[in-house]
Amino acid sequence: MVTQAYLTLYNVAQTIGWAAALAFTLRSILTHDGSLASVYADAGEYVRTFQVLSVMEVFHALFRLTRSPMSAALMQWAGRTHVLIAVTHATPALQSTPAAGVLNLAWAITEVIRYPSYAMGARCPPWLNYLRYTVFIPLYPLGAGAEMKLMYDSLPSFAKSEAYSVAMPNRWNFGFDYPTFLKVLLCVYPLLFYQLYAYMFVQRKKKLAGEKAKSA
Amino acid sequence: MKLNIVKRNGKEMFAGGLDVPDDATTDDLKAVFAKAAKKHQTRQRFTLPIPAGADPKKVRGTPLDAGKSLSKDYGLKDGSVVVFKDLGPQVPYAVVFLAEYAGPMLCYLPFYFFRSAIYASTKKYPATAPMLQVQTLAMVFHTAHYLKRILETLFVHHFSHATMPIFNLYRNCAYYWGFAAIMSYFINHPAYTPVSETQMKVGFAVSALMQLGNLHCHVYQASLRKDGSKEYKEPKGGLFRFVTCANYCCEIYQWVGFNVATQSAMGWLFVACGAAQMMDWANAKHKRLKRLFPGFRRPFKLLPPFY
Repeated sequence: MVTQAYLTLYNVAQTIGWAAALAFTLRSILTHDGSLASVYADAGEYVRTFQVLSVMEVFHALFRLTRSPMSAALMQWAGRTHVLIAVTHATPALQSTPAAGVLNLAWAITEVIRYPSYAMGARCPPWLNYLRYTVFIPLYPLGAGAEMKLMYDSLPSFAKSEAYSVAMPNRWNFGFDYPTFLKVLLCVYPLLFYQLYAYMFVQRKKKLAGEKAKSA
Repeated sequence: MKLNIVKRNGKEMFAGGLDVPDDATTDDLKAVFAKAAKKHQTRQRFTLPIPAGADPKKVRGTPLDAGKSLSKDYGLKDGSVVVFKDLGPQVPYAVVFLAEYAGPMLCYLPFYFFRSAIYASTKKYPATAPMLQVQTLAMVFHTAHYLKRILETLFVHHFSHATMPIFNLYRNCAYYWGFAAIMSYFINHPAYTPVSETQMKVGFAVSALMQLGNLHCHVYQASLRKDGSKEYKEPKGGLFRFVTCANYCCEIYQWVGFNVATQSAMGWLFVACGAAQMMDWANAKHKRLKRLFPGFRRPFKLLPPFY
């Protein structure tokens, strides 16, 4: 009972946050004659706050408040937060690129649909359910594409700054080259994306078919 | 008699049932099933259905064990229902162990022997830095560790299961090969920082001692199954008097010694992952032994003096 109330409250809070992010994103685009260049500056704070806050979903999975496996929740959160905070937020030159704007827009639309449908649970209206399992078709590739573009474009800057990198020699005999890590990530990203995208289509078939059966 | 074989979802597999001799054993059923369903014996598992009304999440169907008679031991008769589970493609354990052990042994070596070629791209460091004694010893110890495992697989171990699901092979190989390569990369790096000579000697000495202890454990465990039996016996000789999983204990301390001597973050991560996994296994084994042998007690489960 308390758990359910808490989860509903959490999802409502996320809905409000992402609605604000979407509103500021759209206003930024409209007031700049359709340009995406200022989206990150105008809406980024909301996107960052609520994306970082969604780490709670990892804990929800850890403490079994939700059914999703902890590892999946962690991967999803870490993947997005990494691109947003470690890459984009740390590289001012990237923030006015279209990729940063597309990232904000794609995430905001997805979440402003996903969270209310969580919040309503079984009472989720069919049209919202339909949107949830439909908007991902263009938005996921758009978001993942933007994420990859941002990582790729950040390579020269990180090669120069050596941020997050650990140089040898040191007494723990460990070295970490962040640009190399990004390159490896860029190679596996399409695979991970394909997996998630294919999974979403399976879910789409299941959930929307269930909808039809209910109304028939 | 005709048995009604169903899948776990309740679907009937053979219309009219599967015909087996009245005095058939589980093995006979598996042979008949292998022909009818084109699924090798090793991937078949049969159980009796869960009694009506029982919670399927809590109660498990009684498995049909090898060598037992279907009619006498399980009371099966014409029309009885038997549940089939497909365990998936299997690989023999000997193959598994060789792939899991020869693999990491070979993954480690290039970083030592082809050092100048591999580290040539790390321009900041002199790829021609002289090889340190600790690096040579580390290579010898790492290779000896896996060589020992291979020889044990060939000449010592008796496996209680003949095969393992093929998916586990991919997973385990990725784990062992990956860690061997990344540990070797840092330990053989031209910019490697050695520990003091005393620390190195102590580390390798512990490692060598624990390797011997581990060999002792494995020889003892094999002696429990000398007669070729596959049933579970209580390990109570040698180090097993003090530690439930003395073999894992030696394995963990062996790697601890190796890491004291070589000191690399990746090496310690490898021990941590291995120890976490063995902790799981040790808990399960301790529980099983307690169930099978009433009064089973040991001062430690896995890692004296801690656990």
